[in-house]
Amino acid sequence: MLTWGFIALATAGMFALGMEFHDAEHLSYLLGMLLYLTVFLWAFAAPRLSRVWLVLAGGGALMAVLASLLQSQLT
Amino acid sequence: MFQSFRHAMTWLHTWFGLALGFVLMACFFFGSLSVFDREIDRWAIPASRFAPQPMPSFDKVLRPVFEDMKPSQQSIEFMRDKVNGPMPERFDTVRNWGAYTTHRDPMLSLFAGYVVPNAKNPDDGVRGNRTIDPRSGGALPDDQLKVGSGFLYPLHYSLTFYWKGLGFWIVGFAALMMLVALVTGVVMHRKFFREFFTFRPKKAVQRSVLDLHNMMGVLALPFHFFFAFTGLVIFAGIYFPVSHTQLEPLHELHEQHEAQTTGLPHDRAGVAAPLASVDDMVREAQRRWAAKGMAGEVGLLSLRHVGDANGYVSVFRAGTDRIALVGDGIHFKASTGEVLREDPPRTAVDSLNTFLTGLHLQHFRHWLLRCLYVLGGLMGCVCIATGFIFFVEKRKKQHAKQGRQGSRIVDALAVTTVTGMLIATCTILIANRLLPASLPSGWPPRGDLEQYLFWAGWVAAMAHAFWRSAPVASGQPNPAWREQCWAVAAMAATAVGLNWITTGDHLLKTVGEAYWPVAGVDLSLLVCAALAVVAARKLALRAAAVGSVNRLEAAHA
Repeated sequence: MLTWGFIALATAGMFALGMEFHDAEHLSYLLGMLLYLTVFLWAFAAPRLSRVWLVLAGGGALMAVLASLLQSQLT
Repeated sequence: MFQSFRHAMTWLHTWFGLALGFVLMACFFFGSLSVFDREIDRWAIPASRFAPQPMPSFDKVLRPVFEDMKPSQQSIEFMRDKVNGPMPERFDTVRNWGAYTTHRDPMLSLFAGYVVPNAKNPDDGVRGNRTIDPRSGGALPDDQLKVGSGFLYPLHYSLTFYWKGLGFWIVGFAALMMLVALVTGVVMHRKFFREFFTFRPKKAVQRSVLDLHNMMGVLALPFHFFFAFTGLVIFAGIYFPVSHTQLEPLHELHEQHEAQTTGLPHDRAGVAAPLASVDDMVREAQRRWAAKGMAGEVGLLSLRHVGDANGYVSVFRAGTDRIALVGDGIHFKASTGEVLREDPPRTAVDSLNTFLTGLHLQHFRHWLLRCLYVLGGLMGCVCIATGFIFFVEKRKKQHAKQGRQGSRIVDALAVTTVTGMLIATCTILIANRLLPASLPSGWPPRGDLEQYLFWAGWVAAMAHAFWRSAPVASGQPNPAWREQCWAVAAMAATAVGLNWITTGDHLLKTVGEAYWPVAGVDLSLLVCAALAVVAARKLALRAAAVGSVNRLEAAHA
């Protein structure tokens, strides 16, 4: 969820800043996979489950919504 | 939640490593074999045992073959529920033709896509494939399986389990777990540097296996991390299809913009047009590459909107001399041969992406590096296999006392994964040499039958591993390890013998002629057989030693 939101926001954001679409997409994938690994490890080591849900679901949803808002401005 | 960060990482390493290790081992092993997939193809298809060929003349050789091609029955069946009304009888509108080769391919792969007028999604269509001898244009029988590039290669990234794309997802999750296992492994082990040099084979099994597990893990850590990571990046579009779902409008905007800036038509014009000489276009592309100081052969030839006024021909360079997976494409108007576009220099992001992808897929010519890739992949297999053995050795005596079956099951699955995978591989090679060229009517196609026998060999190895696993429940080794090592040795040697008998290509001949694709496969099989014999003998000695200790204990009890 968090990685999806990140990839969507990073792709839309970098495209908005002038990067070619597939370049933005590929760079988002590269960074997104590293983020996924980091967050996966953190989710198991985090002291509170509620915090994990807040970051994964909340952060992911927030970034996905921002990506859609940005897209609506661009199209 | 866990007591500490290190506890959490240890738990992740043990349990996710165990659960996904079985898949990972298959990915690493078949990925290693895929490094020489084209060479395995030549071993499996004796008609293709000649030197790699450059792209042949389109006008003289390829065009008549393309015009004769039709969509495959399999592709039509796949499309059947994606059309409005009945499936058309004929497919006259060609969407694209393509021909692809590398510096290791004697045979040439052709593919064609056809428009289905009543498709629910206009972008969907049906496809046809053909493999030809580029010297004559003669086709290979449709049911000849390219065991390397057509089976073992897709096995390492999809498990050839295509239902709902599930195989890709399982492998993707396993690749993520490989990254997790590497990071958690480093966190768990405080003496990281010392583990580069620590292997004590004379110590107890549990100790020496752990040494080997750590050593393989740390020695090849960058290799393992790179391949698991780039594997995920290559298929990221499947795992996170953001551009074709949430960001589809943005993607569509980009497509329209790209069609305008590149001048390459996105759609057909609906007006018929002839096709100019493609050979002339290829010559012009090669002239332009040479002028840029990068003379080269054609790797991919692609024609879009065939027979239409908007048709264009793209000529891509073979990536034999560079790591980055790039084509430096030059695009021509199909009806006139006029240059429409030359691919611009790559951006920084594209350079990074094509370099990472190219390093994983290795289309470049570098035989030593290719061999080192296999070594790195097999080190990954050793790392995972020793992880399984350590898991069992650490717990089996305790489980025996408690009457639990955990170690027994894990051990049987480890046998299935390690030696069972070798048995399955030898089975497909033996089947490839033993099945007749044409099978009686009503039988499955020859290539399908080879794959069924591969899976049957693997299932038989699994059944044997579980059937012989009872001693593990009392803390003893499973004799299936030793027995399957003997089976591997016999089957690998049989495959080499069958290659000789059925094709006349024995090792003295292939080595004498320096025909390394076939000699290399035979030699690898013989090395595998020799190692299996050594392993079987060592296991037999160990079993005898354990047996005498048990007898002594029983006598003193």
